[in-house]
Amino acid sequence: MNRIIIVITALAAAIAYSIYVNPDESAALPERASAGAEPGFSPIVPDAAPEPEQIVDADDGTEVVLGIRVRKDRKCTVELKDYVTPDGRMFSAYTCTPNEPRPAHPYAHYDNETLANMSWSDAEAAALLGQRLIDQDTGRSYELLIRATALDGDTRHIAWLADMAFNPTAVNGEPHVANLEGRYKLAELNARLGSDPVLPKVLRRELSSAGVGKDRLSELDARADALLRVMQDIQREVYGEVRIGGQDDA
Amino acid sequence: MRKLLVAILLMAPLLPEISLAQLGATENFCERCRDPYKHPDDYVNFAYGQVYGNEGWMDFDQADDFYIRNPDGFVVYVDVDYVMHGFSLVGLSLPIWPSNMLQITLALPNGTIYTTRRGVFHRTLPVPTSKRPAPGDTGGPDNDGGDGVDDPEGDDEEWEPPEIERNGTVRIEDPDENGEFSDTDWCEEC
Repeated sequence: MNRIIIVITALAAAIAYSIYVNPDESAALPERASAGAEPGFSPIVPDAAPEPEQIVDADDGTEVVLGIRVRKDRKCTVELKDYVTPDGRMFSAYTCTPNEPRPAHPYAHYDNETLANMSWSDAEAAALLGQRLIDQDTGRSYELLIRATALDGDTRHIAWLADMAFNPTAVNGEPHVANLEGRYKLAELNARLGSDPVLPKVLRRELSSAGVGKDRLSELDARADALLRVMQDIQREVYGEVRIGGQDDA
Repeated sequence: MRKLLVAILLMAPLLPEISLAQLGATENFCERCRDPYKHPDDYVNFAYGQVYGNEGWMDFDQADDFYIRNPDGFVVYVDVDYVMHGFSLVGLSLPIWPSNMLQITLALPNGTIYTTRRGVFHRTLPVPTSKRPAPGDTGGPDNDGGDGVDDPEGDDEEWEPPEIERNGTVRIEDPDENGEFSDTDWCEEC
């Protein structure tokens, strides 16, 4: 019996080694000729003429282009270009250049003061100003994005806030409790507005694992309720009725 | 001895997977990503945009892990996974299905592991994460150079608003067959 196990183990190890030393060609980064480059001449040196996409079709909505599997429904052109860093190092990297530029936001030309005035009743203005201020004045940004959701009911404004304002969730494996709490509160608020109910459960479990007690979690739930009441007040003030959060005083 | 051999036998199929885990990782170029130590979320948002949102182009399996290089030559390893949800029994959690949330883990050049999350329903996320001030906005801290990091586009010229149609022109958009209007992906950084 031992001999059989030893033989099978040796065969398995041989197969594993052969796969290791002969990886699938499609998994490897295609090599590009880098000789002749003049390092330091320019920070970025794209190819004179980008190579045409070499496409291999698949049935699962993907295709292999320039050696990597990409989506067929992409709105950009896959390219593999050579670059030179300011200190002269050269490297090849993929990029996907959009086929068409995205249209400018219709309010992009408004200054912050104008957007602030419009944001009383205009969700787009509140959302745009909230996004502009996320690094300069996070508190004001928070307020505006909550207002935007109150005005148009789109919970993505709050999801955007959670993702931009509460980073990281962990560093070197150590959970960042304050950011997880901030995300939990907003996820709980979004769940009350009809969004994904799973997310607050996931975050609640992580917070519990990180040592956050039930009292603290209840406190965060209460804050989510308070935010919901703020949103209801905004709706009452602007629309004369409450349309979210299970209350209807129309 | 037998247990050891059986353990090796069971682990053998996994060994090539483990050893090849980073071999298939492609290198993607991010022109707007800044210093990864000061602005790691540039790389997180860029990674998100490769997979999700209106500009996603990589297959999720391909995008599971990849490298991002910026113009200064910084290389950041990225691992993108779904946050899993499942059952929890007697303190043990059993992940069963993916939630609508991605966990994006960066390995910075100095070895720091930076982990954060992104929901899957964003249209696009800004890269760089700090935006330039709006035209005419002189208040607030300097957002382009206040932290000692130059604007990644390197343009010190006065910001020009994008050209828009102003002469009362209204573009009428028809709803789709379900009566819904398309969700336009505005360039909010423009």
